[in-house]
This record gives sequence, structure tokens and C-alpha cells, in this order.
Amino acid sequence: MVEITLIDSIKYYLINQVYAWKSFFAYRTQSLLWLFYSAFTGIFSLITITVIYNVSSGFPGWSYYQMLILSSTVVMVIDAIEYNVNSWDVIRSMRRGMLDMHMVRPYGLATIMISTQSGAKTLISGFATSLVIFAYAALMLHLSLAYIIVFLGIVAIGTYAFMMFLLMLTVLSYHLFKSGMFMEGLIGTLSVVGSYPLSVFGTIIMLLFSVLVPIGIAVYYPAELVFGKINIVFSIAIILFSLAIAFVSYKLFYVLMRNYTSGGG
Amino acid sequence: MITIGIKDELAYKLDYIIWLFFQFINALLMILIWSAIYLGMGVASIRGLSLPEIYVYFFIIYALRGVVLTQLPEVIEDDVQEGSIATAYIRPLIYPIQVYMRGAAQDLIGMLFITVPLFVIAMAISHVTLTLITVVLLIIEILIGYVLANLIGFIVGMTAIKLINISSLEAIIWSTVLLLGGGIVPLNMLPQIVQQILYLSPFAIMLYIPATTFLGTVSTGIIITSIFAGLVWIALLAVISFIAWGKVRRQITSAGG
Repeated sequence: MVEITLIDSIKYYLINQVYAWKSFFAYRTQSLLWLFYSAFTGIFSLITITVIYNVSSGFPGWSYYQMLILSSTVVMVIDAIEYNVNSWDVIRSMRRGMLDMHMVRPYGLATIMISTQSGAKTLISGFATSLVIFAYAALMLHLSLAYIIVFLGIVAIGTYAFMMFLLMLTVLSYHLFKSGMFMEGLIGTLSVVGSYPLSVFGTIIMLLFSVLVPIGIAVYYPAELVFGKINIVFSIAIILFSLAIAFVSYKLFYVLMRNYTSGGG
Repeated sequence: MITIGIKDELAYKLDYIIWLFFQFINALLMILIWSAIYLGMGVASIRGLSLPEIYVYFFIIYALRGVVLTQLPEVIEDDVQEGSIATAYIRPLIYPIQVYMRGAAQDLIGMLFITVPLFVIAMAISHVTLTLITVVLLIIEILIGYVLANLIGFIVGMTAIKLINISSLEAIIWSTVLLLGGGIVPLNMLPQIVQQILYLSPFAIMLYIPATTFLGTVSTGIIITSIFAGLVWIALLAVISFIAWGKVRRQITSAGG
């Protein structure tokens, strides 16, 4: 039995990334256009929020720059997750049986899926654009480096938890629908929901996206902490909840994978 | 061709239902977002649009997305990638007409399941009684928007003959249509000079002008200007399509099979 260490898993992930990037640049025009499009998505949110704050006083309790922080963070979070877990591609490879040959390798199933089925390389430009918008808004808000580090730290924990949740949900979608349409629709909706304060959608939707599909743990609640809208105890509760989500999602992922049957060959 | 296309499209019924579900959810989310803005400000209207009108506006916009987000470029891209363009080419119907018909089949399903229900919802919540002139104007505007979307789609689709994979280009084009057509924020909320330029572009007639014609919040002058601009764009894009097709059709190679 081969002993697989964390370093081995990271190496396996990185080797697959090199391969994926080379494949991506095989069609240069296409890849450059995708990078351009992805960069555009961050600017989309910027335009929308600028127009909203130009014609109105915006969202109660949220300034223009606070909204820019929120919307740019959600783009970064979703891009980072989709970079690693591209649900559409994962489900397609499960349906066609393309995942099966990777499953015989001695790595964890989650590592294999994240390493081999990650597709959306272009999202790196969307991430970069949003990072620039985030830096600009943070500068205008005079956020201290300590605040930014705390914020990004909690966002990173929430992003990891949410990524594990989406990985589990992707496998569940395969079992239920054998199609990536549900996950694609859900991620599109999450991009919209996450870009605005959850409180604007009312209590039911706020609870839905805090507990059932917890995008709130990755973006909204960390932002609320940095802007002094929630206290430190609530923030610790959010971090613990994120870790619980990650753990339960990881366990459920393996339960679902135990019942996985390939859809083709 | 259209019947085959409709049957193909309805083969994945569950996917369609899921897609529909998220279309409705996204329309509702836009309404909730704008509700928060209006209620937070405590104003009756912003730039001449009241909150109930914003509700109707977004339902109409999502309805019209079913009309303008045509599948035509995807049809050409699939043909090029799968090599079926070679077999399609020997059929006794010229290729541009074939792809239009196959794309139209998919568009028809979208219109039936997206445009019609959302229009009905918009009618129900707006309590608007449409006059004959408004109905005629709406039909003209929607037709112009549909023809423009197909001409743009055909030009984008033709690039697949050179580029093979054009999904990124499609995403850029349709995002531009949504942004500049008023699909994300109503155009009357943009600066005046930007509005004037966009009324002359091919984008406003696809989404914003029909939605505001339905609501009765746009002036007759702007409607006439946009219709005229739309017709000029149709003529221009038709000429570009004709010339471009004449050049690229000689370069078609079958990539697979």
C-alpha cells in the first residue's frame, strides 16, 4: 500500500494544473477571449453598483465602497471555487466515465476530483480584476492591513467550506439529474445573491443562503464583521459553522461517491 | 428542420425545467434587489420608474432574453466541431437558411417557455391595458430585435469556421447585449449622453425599448429613433453577413465526424 502524504497530494494537484494550463493555451485565440470575458464579469458588478449608487442612496446601511468590497469578494470567491470545482465538467466526466480512470490512483477522491476536473482556468482574470476593485475600495475605505488580513482569512475558511459543499452538491446533482444544469443555474444565482447584502432579500432567503446553501459564510458575514455590523462572538460562531459545513460536506461527499456508478465508458 | 430542432431540444426535459426555474429565480432576485433600493430611499420613483414598474420591467427583460439570446452561433459551432457541416452542405437547402431554421427551433422553445409565461406575469402584475398602437409597436420592436440578434449570431457563428471554438466570443457578445441593452440596469439610469448613444445602437431595441414601450415610460421620439436605427443596423449587418459568408464559405473544412 502506497503511503500518500499531503505533499504528494499537492504535487499531484500542481502537475495537473500545469497540464490543464497547457491544454487551455492550445487554442490561443479562444483562451485569450475567455480571459477577456472573465475579466469583464468583475467590471459588470462595478458598473451595476456604480449606476445604482448614482441614481439612489443604494442599500440601507451599506456605502458604495462597502458594496464594492462585497461584490468584488463574491466574484473572487466564486472564481476561486470554480477554478477548482467546475461542476459542469465534473458531472460530464462522471456521466461519460472519464473520471473512472483517475479513480484508480492512490489519492483521495476529493483530491482527484479537484486536481483532474478543474476546468475554468480563465477565471483567473476575473479574480485579478476583482482583486483590483477590492484593493481600490479598501483604499478608499481606509481599511487597515490587519482588518484586510482578518477579512481575507475568514473569507478563505468560508471559501474552503463552501467549495467542499459545492463538491458534495455536484455529486448529489449527478445522482439526481445526471446533468450539470442545476449546478450551473445555482452558481449563476449565487453570483447574484452574493453580490448584495443578504439582508435585502428578506429573512427566508437570508436563512436559505446562510444555512442551506451557505454562500453567506464565505462573503456576507466576513464583510459584516469588517464593517462592524456583527460582533466578534458571532464571527467566531460563523468560523465554527464554516468548519462544520466543510466536515459534513466532506463526509457526505464520500458517502455519495460510494454509490457512484459511471454513466458511460 | 424546425420540427426536428424542437424534438431535439425537448429531449432533455428536466434540464429545461431546471433552466426555467433559475430564470424565474433570477428575475425575482432582481426585483428584491431593486425593492430594497426603493424602500431604503423611501421614494416613489427613480428616474421616472416606480417600484411596480421596475417589477414589470425586469419580468419583460427576462421575457425578451428568450427572444434575443439566439442559439444560432452554437448551431454553427457544433456543425464545425463535429464535422456535420460537410453533410449539411450537400442538402438542397442553402446552409445559412438551414442553421437559421435549426436555431429558430431552439429559439421557439425558449420563447414558448420563457417569453410567453413572463409576459403573462408582467401583464397580470402591471394591470396595463395595451392599446392597439402599443401592441403593434411591441411586435415591430421584438421582430427587429430578433432579426438583429440572429444577424449578430450568424456573424459570430461564421467565426467558428476560422476559430473552431467560439463559446468565449458568444459569452462576450451576449453579455454586451445584456449590459448595453438595459438587461442589468434600465438605460434611463445611465448618463444622458450614454443613453443617446445606446438608443442609436443595435442593443436598446432588443431589450430596453420594448420593455419601456410596454410600460409606456418612453417617449414616441425615442421609440421612432430606435426603430429607425434598428432597421439601419439590420441592413448594415445583412450586407456584412452576405459579404462575409461569400468569403468564408470557401474556407470551410470538415473537422471531425
